[in-house]
Amino acid sequence: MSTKEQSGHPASQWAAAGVSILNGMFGDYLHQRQNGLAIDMAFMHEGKPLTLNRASLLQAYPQPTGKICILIHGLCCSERSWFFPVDVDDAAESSYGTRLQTELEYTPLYLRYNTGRPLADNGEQFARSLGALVAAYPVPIEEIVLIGHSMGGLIIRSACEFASQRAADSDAAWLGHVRKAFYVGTPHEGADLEKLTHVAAAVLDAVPNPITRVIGDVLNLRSQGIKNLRDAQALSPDASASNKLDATPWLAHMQHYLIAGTLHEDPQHVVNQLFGDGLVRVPGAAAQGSDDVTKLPAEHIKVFPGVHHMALAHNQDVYHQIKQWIT
Amino acid sequence: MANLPTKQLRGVKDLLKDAVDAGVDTTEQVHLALARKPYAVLEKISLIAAPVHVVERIQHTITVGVYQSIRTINALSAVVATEVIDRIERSADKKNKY
Repeated sequence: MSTKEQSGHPASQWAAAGVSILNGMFGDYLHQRQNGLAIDMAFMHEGKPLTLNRASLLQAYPQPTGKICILIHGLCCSERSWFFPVDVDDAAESSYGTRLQTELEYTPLYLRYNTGRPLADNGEQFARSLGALVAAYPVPIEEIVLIGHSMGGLIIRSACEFASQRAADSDAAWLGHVRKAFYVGTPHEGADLEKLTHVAAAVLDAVPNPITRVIGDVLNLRSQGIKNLRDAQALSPDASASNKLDATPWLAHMQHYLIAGTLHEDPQHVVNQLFGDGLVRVPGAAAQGSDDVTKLPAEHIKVFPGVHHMALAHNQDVYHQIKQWIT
Repeated sequence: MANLPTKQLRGVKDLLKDAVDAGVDTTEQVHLALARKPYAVLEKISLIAAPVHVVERIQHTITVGVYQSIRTINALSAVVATEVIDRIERSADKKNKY
């Protein structure tokens, strides 16, 4: 899929980007109101949703391979966030997906979803979509690789958690095919901006003044998807301890890899300590050089100094690292 | 807007209507809460309490009326927008047929 093919007119790109942002900000409300702007979860091909049956998949991918990589975008984004900027000459019209297709024969699928819906709901729906994909896929599946950017990484963990609890179900069979998962700029330990917004809204709401209350109420209009980023909670729809991310195990049959970025080139710079990649701080394990916090081996964690949050989804060095880990 | 399908245009229309309604509700609440404050002080003076109450009722009625008229205009605008989108959709359907 080329950038041109999937994007269309620049005005359409802006409209689509606007819809993605609206879904991120108020997606749960749009979904509840059955608003026409609410995005339905789908695997996208050339800017259009794929129907998950054998004929449609063969039409979209005339030569499907047994190796599938699925790319899941982050909050307020769409699958377009994976594509390298066209002004970078040697990276024109490509993404991690197209490169893995060309170089390692992976068939890339791009998920688009309403990022404002609760994480658990998106995780469950993603798990069911993967079940339908595996059932309809036209050739035997050798392996599935999942690549999630930002919130997309949490959707991966939520879907895996959902499927692992229903391992006996046929539509959870996809989990057995997943070999590796890559979490690119994913807030496994929560997002500071959401924590700050939560505190600000609570303080403003507590002040006995109608104007500050209104400002607090406006802040509280943000979607449940954003609120779930506070401490990356509610990965599972079950209201139990496993609802929390820190109690959600890294599934043992898969290999998990963390990729993080920082604003400043100097890894020890105070800006990096405070702001990480601009939206997500470097996971504790990577920052401390230990594997205590994420419980992942240190060699499965890589920090890219000077690469900000959004750039992590389309960066040459990040791609080379993913490719190295995949092979 | 021309680049949005009619389903999304309807979504934009619904969202704008909801946003204006919510904005009017919130502004009205804040307005009435703030307007109540001077009357609360003045009505403690027994000599002028009765006329203050009358003035407050008049102002309250006018204020609520103004906000209600904005809601009505908003609802009418939504109806007009729905009709326009319906026509766009019908026109597109006709083009697709021929």
